[in-house]
Amino acid sequence: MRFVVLAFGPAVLPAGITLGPVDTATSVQDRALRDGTFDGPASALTGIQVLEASDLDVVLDQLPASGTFEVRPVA
Amino acid sequence: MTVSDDALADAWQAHWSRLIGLLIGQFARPDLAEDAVSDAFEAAARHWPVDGVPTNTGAWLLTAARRRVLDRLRSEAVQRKKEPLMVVDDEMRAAAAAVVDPGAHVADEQLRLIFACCHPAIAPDDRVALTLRFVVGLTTTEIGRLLLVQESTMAARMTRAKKRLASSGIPFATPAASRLDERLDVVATVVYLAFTSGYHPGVGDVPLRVDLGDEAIRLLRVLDSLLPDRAVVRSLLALLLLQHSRRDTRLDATGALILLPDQDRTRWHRDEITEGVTLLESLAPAGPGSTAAPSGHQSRLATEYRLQALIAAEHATAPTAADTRWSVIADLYAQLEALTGSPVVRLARAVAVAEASGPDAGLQLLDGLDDALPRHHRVPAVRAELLRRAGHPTAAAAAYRAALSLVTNPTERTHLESRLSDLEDTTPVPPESSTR
Repeated sequence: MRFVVLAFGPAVLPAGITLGPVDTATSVQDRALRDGTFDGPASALTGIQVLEASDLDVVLDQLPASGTFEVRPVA
Repeated sequence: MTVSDDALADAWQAHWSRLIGLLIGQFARPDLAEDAVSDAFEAAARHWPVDGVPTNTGAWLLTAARRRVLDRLRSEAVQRKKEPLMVVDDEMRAAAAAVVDPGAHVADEQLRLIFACCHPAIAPDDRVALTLRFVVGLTTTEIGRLLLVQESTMAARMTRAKKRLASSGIPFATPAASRLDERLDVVATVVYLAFTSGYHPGVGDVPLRVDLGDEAIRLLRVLDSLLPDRAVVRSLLALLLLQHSRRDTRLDATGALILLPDQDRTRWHRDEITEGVTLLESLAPAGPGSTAAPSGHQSRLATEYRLQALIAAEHATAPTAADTRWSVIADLYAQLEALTGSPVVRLARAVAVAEASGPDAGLQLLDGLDDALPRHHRVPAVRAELLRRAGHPTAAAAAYRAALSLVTNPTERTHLESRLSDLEDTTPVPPESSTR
């Protein structure tokens, strides 16, 4: 089985990926962009993807047209 | 002003934004770019009066600024701070590094800078602030005053916005063709906000080094030259030229607002009006059967600006206030209202309709607007004017009082008070309804 581990607050996963600070987050709702992190509960999280892209616009192009997402650079 | 003061002012006007763009292009650090260019100008202020103004001020400033960035990068490397950097492609970096004379062919840097500052991932208020800082060159203090934000708050917001600009993955690039029009709409909105921020009441008390109207228009010209034939750019440029042409007649010697019908039309800038009107002609949609090439895709925003510009053109080309073609204006407002559904547009339309077809026609259009604009003093203010013209002074006085209870701006308060007292002076008031 594969598992996903999420770290919150000051917790550190030495073998994991550290996200950029919250000020670097962009939220997307049905293609509309907003400065900031997802503004709902952590329990709403349903998926995760790590991808390589030259910039934010390239990532946004790959998102589905509908749905709520948060994009953050890796630290 | 000394020779070097003039040279500094000219250099700042010509080079600030280009230097910022170049340094961001080369080093991908908007924070360092800004500090370095500021330092370079400070150094110029110290050295040029003593050593003389250099022949090539841009190159002097660029060299000084680059040196500072490199110094800062070296000391940061010592501290080993690693953060995701703003994304700038290698070709851009090489080009920026190679430039010795920042005056030559560096308009691309400005374009990339504008698109980065206006990226939709940046909060709308921050887009205006970043553009005013990096593209127009205002200080954070000046920006705070314009946007009606306390200085310390503005400084904190600016710091955060710059950090976000640098490290959230926003590209420092002109968008791909498929999203260029959508992004241009955002840029146009920001430029218009920058233009109108100069018109806030009270802002006139603050002397700015720069005229925001001039700057906004200059920016649109740069955009138009680099991205030709974009309807949203040209329609906004037409609108701003036509509005800006009246700048010398908007305020009287005491700083009070002069209304459009009372402005001295001989002091409107005719060359700007002509340019605005010519631009509008180039934007007109081709008639049926026309073989002329279409003027390019017109987004909804472009159409909105074009309609606003057409209205401004009607005022600008009427030789006197009495010659104004109000029925044409009323029709244009009707189209604008159909496009935007805006109650503010409906209010303006009501005024135009009243001029064209009498106060009762205008009053009809005001129905329902109090609910749509509950705290807007202009709805009862317009109603009061129209009621007065329709021969209902008591109702008009009540409406003026309603407007006075909502108005916040002191200039408009004075105007309303004087209208109310004019009305009361000429109308016999029955004793039981006088309240003082």
